[in-house]
Amino acid sequence: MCDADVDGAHIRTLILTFLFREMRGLIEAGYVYLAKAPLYKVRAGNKDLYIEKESELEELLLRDKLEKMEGVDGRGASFKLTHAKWQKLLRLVKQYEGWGSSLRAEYGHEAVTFLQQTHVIDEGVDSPESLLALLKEKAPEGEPFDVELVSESEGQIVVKCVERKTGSATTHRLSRSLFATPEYRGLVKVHDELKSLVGTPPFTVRLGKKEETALSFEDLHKAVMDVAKEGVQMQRFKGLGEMNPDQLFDTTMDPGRRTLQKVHIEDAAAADEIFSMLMGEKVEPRRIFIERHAREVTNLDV
Amino acid sequence: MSSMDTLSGGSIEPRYLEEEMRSSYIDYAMSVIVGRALPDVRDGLKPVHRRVLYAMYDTGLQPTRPYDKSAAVVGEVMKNFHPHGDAAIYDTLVRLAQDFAMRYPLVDGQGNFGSIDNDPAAAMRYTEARLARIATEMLRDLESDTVDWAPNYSERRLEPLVLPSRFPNLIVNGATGIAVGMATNIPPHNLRETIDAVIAYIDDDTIGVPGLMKHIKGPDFPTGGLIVGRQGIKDAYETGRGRVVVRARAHVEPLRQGKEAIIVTEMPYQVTKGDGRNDGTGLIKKIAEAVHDKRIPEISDLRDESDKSGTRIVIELKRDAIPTVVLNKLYKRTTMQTTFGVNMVALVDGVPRTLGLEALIKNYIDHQRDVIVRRTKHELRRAEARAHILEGLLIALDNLDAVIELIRASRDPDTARDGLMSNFDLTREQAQAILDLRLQRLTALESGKIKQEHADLLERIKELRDILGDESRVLDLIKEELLEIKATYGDDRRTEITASEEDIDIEDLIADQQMVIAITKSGYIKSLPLDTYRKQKRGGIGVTGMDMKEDDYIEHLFVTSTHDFLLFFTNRGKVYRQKVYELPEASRTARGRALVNLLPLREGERVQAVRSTRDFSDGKYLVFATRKGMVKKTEFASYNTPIKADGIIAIKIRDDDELVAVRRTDGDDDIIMVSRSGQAARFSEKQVRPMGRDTSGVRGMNVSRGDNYVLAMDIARDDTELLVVTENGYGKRTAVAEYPVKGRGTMGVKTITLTEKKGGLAGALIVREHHELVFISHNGMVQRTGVRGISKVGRPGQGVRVMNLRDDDHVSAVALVMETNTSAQVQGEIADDAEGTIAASADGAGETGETPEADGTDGANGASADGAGEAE
Repeated sequence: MCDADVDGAHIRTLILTFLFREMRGLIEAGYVYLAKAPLYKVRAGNKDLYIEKESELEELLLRDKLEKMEGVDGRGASFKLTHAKWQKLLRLVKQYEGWGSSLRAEYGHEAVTFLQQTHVIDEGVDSPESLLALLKEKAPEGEPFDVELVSESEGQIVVKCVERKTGSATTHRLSRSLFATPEYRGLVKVHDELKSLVGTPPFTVRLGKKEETALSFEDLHKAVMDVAKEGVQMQRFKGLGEMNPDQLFDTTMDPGRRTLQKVHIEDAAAADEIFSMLMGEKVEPRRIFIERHAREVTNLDV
Repeated sequence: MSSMDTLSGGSIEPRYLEEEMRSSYIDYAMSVIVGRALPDVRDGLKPVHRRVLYAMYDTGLQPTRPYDKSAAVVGEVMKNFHPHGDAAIYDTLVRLAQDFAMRYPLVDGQGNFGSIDNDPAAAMRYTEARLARIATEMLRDLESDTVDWAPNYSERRLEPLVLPSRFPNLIVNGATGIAVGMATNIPPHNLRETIDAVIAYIDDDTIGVPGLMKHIKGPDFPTGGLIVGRQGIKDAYETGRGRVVVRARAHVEPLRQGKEAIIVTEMPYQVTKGDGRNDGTGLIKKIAEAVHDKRIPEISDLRDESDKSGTRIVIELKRDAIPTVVLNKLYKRTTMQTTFGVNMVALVDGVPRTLGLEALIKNYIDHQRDVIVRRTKHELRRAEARAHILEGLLIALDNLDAVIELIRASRDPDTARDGLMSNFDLTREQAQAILDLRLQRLTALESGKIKQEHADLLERIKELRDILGDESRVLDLIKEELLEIKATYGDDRRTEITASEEDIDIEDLIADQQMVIAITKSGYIKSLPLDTYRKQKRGGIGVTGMDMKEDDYIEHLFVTSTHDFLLFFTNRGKVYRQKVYELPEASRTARGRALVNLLPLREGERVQAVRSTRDFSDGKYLVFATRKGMVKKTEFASYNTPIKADGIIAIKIRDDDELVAVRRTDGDDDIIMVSRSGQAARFSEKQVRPMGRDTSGVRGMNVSRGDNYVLAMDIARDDTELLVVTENGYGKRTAVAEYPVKGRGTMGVKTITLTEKKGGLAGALIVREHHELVFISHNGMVQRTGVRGISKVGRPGQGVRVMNLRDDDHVSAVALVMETNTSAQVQGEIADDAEGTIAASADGAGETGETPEADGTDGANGASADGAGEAE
C-alpha cells in the first residue's frame, strides 16, 4: 500500500523488485496484492465518493453534465458533446498531440504552432505547392492570422504571419521537407477529423454560469473539465497520510469495500528482463525504454 | 475478471507484474524527468526553484522589503505549490542563497546559510530570506500575461509554468540534476559574456560556436579557480557534452629557513574545503589522507588559515621539495583538481534534450521574443480597452447636455445605460463608464485630461502595433533590455581559463639533457650533466676524483638523458625503475647517494645490471641469464608498468640462484653464455621462447658439473670478439664467428684452455678491436689495456698474461672503458648499453690515488660473480 503519487509508484516498483528477486515464491503463490488508494474525494450531493483513477473522475464529473454543455467554435458554429464523441475527441487529441510533438522535435516549436493556428492546416495543405497556392489568396474572414509569402527557395518557404487583431508579425522559415513527413500528414488528417467533430478553434464551452475558452483542440479537454468541475467539492490525495484513519479504512483497507490487485507473473523471463532493465546498473537501456514509452504516462505528477 | 473477496464486498482484480512495473516506473520516471530534476531551457529552473521564487514574489518578499522567516517561505511553497518534503524545499532555498554555489544567487539570505566548509545552514526557524535583486528580473513582466499558467496540485491556485527570465538564467547560473535514465550538469557562466553572446547571436544566427566563444570564454564559477584546457569547453558548447578540468588557484610562498609553502586561495567548484558535516570529503581532509598514505611525502604541514577575508590553505613543504612537482601530485591525487563533466540537458517543450550552446541561446531568445510579444499584446489590449472607454467619455463630453438630459429622464441605471447605448451608439462598457463619471470630471481641467490621455493612448497604441508588426523591433527591445541588465548586474570573470591542454607535465619543467650516471661497487649512485663532466680535463670520474670509500670504484657508468628511465635489475631477479631526473645530482667529487636509500632493496639484494630506456621501445625483448645457466626472454614493453614500491619481478629466480646479466635483443640475435670453467655456449635467441615477466626461463647452458656457474652473457655478433680473463690474470680474445651456433642447454664449447695456474675465468666480455679495457683486481689494482694489446687466438687458445697481480690477489672484473672524447660512432656502437668504466685519467691506470681494498661482501659472493664492471 503506497501513496497514490508518483513517488508512491516508485516505492511500489522498489518493493516489487525486492519481492521478485528475493521472495519470488510469494508472488507465484498469489500472496502479493496491491492496495488501491483513492486519488480524489468528490462530494456529490450528500455523499463522499472516492475515486481511484483520473479517468474515473472524468467519467463521474461528466456523466450528467457533458451533454448539457454548449459549445461554440471559432466560426460561431455550435456543437454538442456526447459521451461517444468525447471519447473520440480524447483519442484524436492524443494523436494530434503526438504528431505535433514529433514534428516540433524535428522542425521547431514555432513552425508547427504556426501551421496549426493559421488556416494552413485547416485548409488541408499537404505539400509545399499547395501551400504556395494557398498563400496567393488572403486568409478567410474570421481567421485570426494573415499569411503572406516572403520568399521561397529549394529548401524552404519563408512566410510572414500577422495577427489581425494586434498587428503582431512573425517570420517563419518552413522547411519543404516538413510537408512530406508522415507526421505532418498524420497531423493534417487528425486535424480534419477534429474539425468535423467539433469545428475550428478557438472554442467556448458553457454550462450554466460557467464559461471557459479553449484556444486549441488540446485545450478543449481542459475547458470541458474546468466547466464540469465548477461547483464540485474535490480533494486530491497526495499521500496516505492525508486521510483520516477511518477514511483510509473505508477506502483502502476495508475488506468489504476495498479493491485489491492480485499480482501475477505472466512470463517469468520477460519479468526478469524488465527488472534488470529498470533496476539494473546500465543506464542506456533504461533511457531508451523511457524515451520509447514516454507517451504512455498516465500520471504526471509534479 | 474479478473475484469476490472472502469477506463480502470488495473486489480483486488481476494485475500482471510486468505491466505494473512498466506503468508505475514510467509514471515515476517521466514525472522526475519532466517535473522534478531537469530545468526548463527557457528560465533554467526546475519546478521547485520556480515555485520558491514565485511564492516569494507572491508574498511580497521583494529585495526592498524586510526579510521573512525561511520557515514561512517554505510553508508557503509547500502549501500552495509543492506538496513534498519541507527539508527538500528548504535545502533548495538555502542553495539559491549561497554565493559559493550560485554564480548569481537568486535569494538574499539573512543568517547562517552554510559555508564552503560544508557546514549546514541553520534551521529554517532561524534564517530569513527575501528575493535577491537579480531575481526580480526573473519575475519581471510576470503580470503582463507573458507566460502560461496552470492550476496547482490542489487546483486552488494558479502557478506559472515558466518565468519570464529576463536574463539567460540557465546559462548564467547553470544546473545540476539527476533524473531517471538521464542527468544534467550545466556549469555557470559570466553574465556579461553571456549577454554579449546572446546579442551576437541575435545579430547573426550563423555565428557558430567559435564566434560565440569570442564572447563566452568558458564557464565562470562562483568560487573562481582555473580551467585548464579549452578543448573540453569547446566540445561541451558544440555537442552539449565535454570534460572541463577545474583547478584550485595556488601559488608558492617562501617561508623561513629556505622552506616554501603552497598557498591555495580558490577552490575548484563544488569542492568543499573543511569538514563541516564530518564526512571526510573536504579538500583538507583529502590532502591529509594523501600525506598520511605517503603518496605526497614532500608535505610537512597543512593548515587552514582561511578567515573572513578569504580562503587560504597553507601546505608547507619539506626543505628540498620541488613545489611544482608537489603541486602536480596534489592535482593528480586530491580534489585540488576535478573534472566537471558537462552534460547540458534541459527540457524543451517538455521533452529532455541534450543541447549545445547555440541551441541554448536560440531557445532563450525564442522565449524572450515570446515574452516581449505577449507583454506588448497585453499592453495593447489594455490600452485599446482604455482608449475605447475614453472614446465613450469623449462622446459624452461632446454631447454633454443631451447625455445629462437622457440620464435624468431615465427611470433607473439600466434604462439609462440602454438609452445611452442606443442613442449615442455606445457599447455597454462605454455607457457604464459615462454613468460612473464623477461630476468633477466635467470641469475644463478634467475634460482636458481625458482628451490628453486619449491622445497619448492613441500614440502608444500605434507604437505598440509598430513593435508587434516589426520583428526586428522586438529583437531590438530584447537587446536593449538585456544590455540594461548587463549594466546593472554584470561583474568580472572569476574563473581563469588557461590554455594548457595537458596536465603540467613535470618533464616539461625539466630540460632533456645528457647526464652521466655513475654507480659504484658499494652501491652509490650519482648523476651529473655530461657537459659538466666533459669540462673536467682529467676526462673521467674513474676510480678517483670521486668521494668514495677507500675500497670502492665505479661499477656501472653510462651516458643517458634526463627523461629516460633507469631500470635497476637486482641479483634477486627484481627490477626497480627511476627517471634519470629523479636521481641525485651531484658534483664530480661528491659521493652520491646509496642505492639502498633510493631503491627498496632487500637484505642481500644488489643491483646487478642497469639499463636505460626512454620508452621501453628500444629493443623488443630483454634476455636474462642466471648463474645456474637459466635463460629467459620477455617482451621489453611488459616492463613498462609503474613499478610498485616493492619493485616488480623481472625474472623468477630460485633462492640459490642469481641474476648474472640482462641484455636487450631484437629477436634475431645470438646469445652467448660463458661459464667459469671456460666454456661458451652460443645459440640463437629464437631458441628461447618469449615468456611472461614472472617466469623462470629455460635452460640456456648446462653448468651443473662441479662448482661451475655462468659468469657472463652477451649478444654474439660475428663481427665482434669474445674476450675472457682468468682469475690469475690470463686473457685472450677470439672472434665470435668461431663459436658454432648450437641448440640451447648445451655445455658449450671451449673458449679457453684452462690450467690450474690460470685459475677459473673471472670475466668475459664481447669486445671490438678498438675498445679499451680496464682490469680490476680484488685488492683494488686497476690496469688499463687496449683490446689490441690482447692476443687474438683461436677458441681453445691458452691466453697470455694481461694483468700483473700479487700473489694473494686475483682479477675480479673486466670492463670496457668509455672515453668521453671517443668519437660519436664508437659511442654509438657501445651506446645501446652505454656503460663502462671510465679510466681514471688519460695518464694511465697507475694513478689511482687510493688503493681500494677488498670489500668483504664481494668476497662472500665470489669475485667474478659480481659481474662487476662488465660492459653489458
